[in-house]
Amino acid sequence: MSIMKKGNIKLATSLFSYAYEWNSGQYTLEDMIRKTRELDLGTGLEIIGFQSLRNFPHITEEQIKEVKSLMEKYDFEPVALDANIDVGIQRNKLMNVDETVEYIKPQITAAQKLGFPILRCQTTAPAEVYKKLVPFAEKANVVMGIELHTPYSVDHPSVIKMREMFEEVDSRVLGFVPDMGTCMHAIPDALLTSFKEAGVTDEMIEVTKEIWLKDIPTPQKFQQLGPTVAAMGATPPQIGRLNMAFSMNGRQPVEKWAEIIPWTVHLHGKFYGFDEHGDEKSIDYEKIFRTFIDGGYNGYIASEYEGSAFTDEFSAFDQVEKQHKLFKKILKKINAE
Amino acid sequence: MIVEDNLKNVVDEGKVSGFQFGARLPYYRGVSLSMLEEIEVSVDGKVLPQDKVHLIVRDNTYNLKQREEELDDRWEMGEVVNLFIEKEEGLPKGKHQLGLKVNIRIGYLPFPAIRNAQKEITIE
Repeated sequence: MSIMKKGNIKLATSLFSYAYEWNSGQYTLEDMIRKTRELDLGTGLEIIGFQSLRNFPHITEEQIKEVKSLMEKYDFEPVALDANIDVGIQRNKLMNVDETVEYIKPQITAAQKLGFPILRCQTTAPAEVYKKLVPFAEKANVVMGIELHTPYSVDHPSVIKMREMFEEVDSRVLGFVPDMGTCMHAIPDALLTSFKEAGVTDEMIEVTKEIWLKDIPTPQKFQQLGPTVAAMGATPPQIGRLNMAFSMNGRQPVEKWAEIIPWTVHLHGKFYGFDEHGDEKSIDYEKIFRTFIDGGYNGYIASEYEGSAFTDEFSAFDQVEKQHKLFKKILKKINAE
Repeated sequence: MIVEDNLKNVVDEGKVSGFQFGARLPYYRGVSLSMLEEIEVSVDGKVLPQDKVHLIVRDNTYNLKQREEELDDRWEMGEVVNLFIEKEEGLPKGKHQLGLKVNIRIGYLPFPAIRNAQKEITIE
């Protein structure tokens, strides 16, 4: 029996975490990166094209120079650039395969020019799109890392198709970026608190929790929740809030990631908040780290603080710092064994 | 979301043609203008017609139809754009409750991304 080589996980931060701080208008790109360095939030950085770069993906030489010099000045390794695949950009029709291919190409080129080895892509585009992009990405030497954000767990039909295509094409520019919001074991307290602030009752929350625990596809959960809580008096905006529990929090067992570790190129460390002991009660990060390290994964995990989607109570800098403390504690424990 | 700095009644050829205020996109990234499914402005609880709302992005002004068809120009993250609302005589002087609802159409989300803001403003 061969013994699989153990992996190693390095820490990074995604500027996605700072959505609220960005929107406050008080920080520049350099401020964000400097602060991330000052707080020692990893050796790698992930940035979002449509967030940090004006006119992305058609970026100028000055923008390329700026990003590269900031990465160097603050000593960050460029880990991933996030693409967005806006298939619904036109009002009355979705993009077809060829239009989607053309929408992604300049984003691959932007990653190449900015020196990011991975372009985070989305499951919005089907396997066929990525298959068509392989020669272009190989030429650019950019890996298309397809994010597995809930509800896209490893056995979701679209992901199965993607895996089959990966096997068939067998290219170094195809990979997955599992998002840890896909493998949660509870709806986070911070999210539940925000529901209550929106006037949602405990009774409605209980129903939401019950439906969340059902082994049915997410769209069906939306269908079950709406009428049930509407009968309890929930308004459409409140139902919209409660739906977030289904759209953000997936229930895939952590162990299932093992199936796709050979294809994993990067990880998203999604998180919602911490208890007084510094633990993230809805995501089992120790189990996650063990699963990926035992499976031979060698790469980064980037913090993605999701809390700003529903509350402005916390500073994202503090939140990411807490997550890195937790990550370092887990790594120390695993490495000491 | 609502930025008061640019708040004023707008005078056009000696006549007040409406009012404007600044706004930031309540999202983690910028979006093409075509992805703005709805921009709804209300004053003192009364919703104003959406086709009276014009979006001023840097040097370009977009009416509802132009905005819906604009795939390239973007409302960037953190960027303050001005909303100009056609309204005869603008807003009366004094305090008002200004409401803004922005509905962003994200092709891969199963539901609309709707954000609401309310702010008490003063027209001087």
